[in-house]
Amino acid sequence: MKTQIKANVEVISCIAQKDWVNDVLEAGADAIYCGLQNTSWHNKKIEFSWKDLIDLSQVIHEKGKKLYLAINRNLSQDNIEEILEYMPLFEDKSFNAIIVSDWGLIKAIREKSSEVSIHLSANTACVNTWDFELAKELDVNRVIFSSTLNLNWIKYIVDRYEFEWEAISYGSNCINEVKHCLCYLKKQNEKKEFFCSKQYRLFNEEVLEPMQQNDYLRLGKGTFTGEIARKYFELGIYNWKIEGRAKSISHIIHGTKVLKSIANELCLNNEKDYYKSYSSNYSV
Amino acid sequence: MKITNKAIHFHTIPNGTLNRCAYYDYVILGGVLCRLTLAHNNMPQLEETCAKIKNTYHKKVCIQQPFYLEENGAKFLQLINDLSNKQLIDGIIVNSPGILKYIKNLGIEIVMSRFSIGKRKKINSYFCNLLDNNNVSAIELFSDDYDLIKEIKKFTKLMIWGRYNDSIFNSFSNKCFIKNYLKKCTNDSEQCGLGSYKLYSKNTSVNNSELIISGHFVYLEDKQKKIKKTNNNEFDTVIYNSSEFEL
Repeated sequence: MKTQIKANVEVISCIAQKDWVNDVLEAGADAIYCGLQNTSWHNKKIEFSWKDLIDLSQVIHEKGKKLYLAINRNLSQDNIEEILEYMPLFEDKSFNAIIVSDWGLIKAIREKSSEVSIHLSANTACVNTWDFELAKELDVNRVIFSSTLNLNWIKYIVDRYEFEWEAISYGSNCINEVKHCLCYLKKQNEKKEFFCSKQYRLFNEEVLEPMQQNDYLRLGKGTFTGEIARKYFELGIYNWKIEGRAKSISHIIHGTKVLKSIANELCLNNEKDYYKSYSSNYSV
Repeated sequence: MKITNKAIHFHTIPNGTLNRCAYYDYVILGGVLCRLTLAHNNMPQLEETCAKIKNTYHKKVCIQQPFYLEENGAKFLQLINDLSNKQLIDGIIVNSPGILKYIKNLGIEIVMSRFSIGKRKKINSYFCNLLDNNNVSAIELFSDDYDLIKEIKKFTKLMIWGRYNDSIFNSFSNKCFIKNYLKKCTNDSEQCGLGSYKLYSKNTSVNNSELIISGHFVYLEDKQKKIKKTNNNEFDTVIYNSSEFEL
C-alpha cells in the first residue's frame, strides 16, 4: 500500500486583471493561472495578451512563484500555430506550464518539445483509464481532475498512474464533463452575473445527486468548509486549484487564504499517514 | 454535401419501439453499461437487440460509448469486442480519444462523438490527424454547423455525422429535462430517449443551401406525451408523414 508522509501543497490561484497579481500572491498563492486572449471560452475581459503574460511572468517569478497559462478550449489551427510560435517561453520556463484541454494542442506541443510542462485541463473530460493512458503516451505531466469524478474513482486512478495530480478545490467549474460550457446560455439570460453558478448548481442537483448519492464533490454549492481539500490531501492530491476568474478578486483572495491555511495545517501535521487511514474507507 | 443516411438513437432498450428502425439506415444504441441509465447492462439482451435490428430490419447497428462507464472500461471494451466478433455491430461512437487504439483494428466504423468537439466550434489538423491515424471514419457534431464542417474538411476526409435536435442537450436548457430524463430512464425505459441523426456523405463539398435543415425530430416533453398517448405506429405516422421531417 502506498503511504504518503510528506507533502507540499501548491495552491493555484487565478487572476483576471494584471493588478490583482500582488494581492493574490500575498494571500498565499503558490502559482497563478491565467488565460490567453482568443483561446478561452471566458469573457474577453479576463484574458491576457502575450505581452501582458510576459510582464506577469516577471512579476510572479520575482516573488518565487509560478505562472501557468490556461488554454481551456478546443482550438483552431491558427490558435495552435500562434501558441507554437511562443513555445520558447514555455521551454525557458517564463511560463511554468500550459494547461490544455485540446488533445490536438497536446500532440502539437509534444511533436515540437519534450521540455514543456503540460497540465491536462479538467475540461478535457479525462474520466476513464483509456484517456489517462493517452495522457501518459503524450507525456502529460499533470492531470487536473474533472470536478464531477467521484472519490472512489479518483483513488482508483491515483493508485494506478504516476502523474502530478491537481483538483479544483474552491469555486465551481461551470462546465460539465462532456465539455459542454454551461455559460453558453448566458447571453439569453438577463441576470448575467448569476447565470453560470445557477446552471452549475442545477447540473449538480438534477444530474449528479440523483446519480450518485455521497461520493461526488459538490463544488458548486454550499458553504466552503475545506472538506474537499482535506479529502484531496488524503488521496495524495497536493495541487489545489481555485476556480472563479470571472467572479471577483475578493472571491479569489478568500479562496486562496482558506486553502493556504488548510495546506499549512495539513503539512504541519504531515507525519500522520492520511492516505493509509483514508484508503480504508474507499474502495473501487 | 448531401445527406446520405439517417439514423435513430435509442438511449435505452428499445422494447416495443424497435419498429422505428425501419425508417433509418443506422440504429444507435446508447446506455450500454452506462451507470446513468442502467440500460443495456445485460449482454444477452443487447445481443438480442442487435441481432433483431440486423436480421429483421437489416439496419446497421452502432454502439454509443457512455460517459458514465462502470469500472475502468474493460467490461465495455470486452463487450464491443464480443459484439464485433459476432458481427452484431457495425460501428461505435466514442467519446474518449484514448479508446481508439484498442478498437482501431476491429474492422467496425468508428465515429468520434459530438462531445469531443463540443459547442466551441474549433478544430485543428492535429486533432484530425489523431482521428485519421486511428481509423476513425466520421466526426459527429452537435448540430449542422456549416463553418465547422468547412473547417473539418480542410484537414480531413472524415465523414460528418450531424446530429440535430440532440435530445439531452437541446433540452438541457429547459432545465427540468435531465431530471425527467433520469426518471423516465429509470421507470419507463421504453418511453425514453429518441434522438435523431443525419449523416453526410464523404468527399463532398459544402453547399449551404443543401444543408438547410428540412426536418426536425424533436424530443421535447410535448412530443414525449404524444408517444404515451399514441401507439408506436401512430407516432411514427405523425412524425414521418409530417412535411417538416422530409429530408
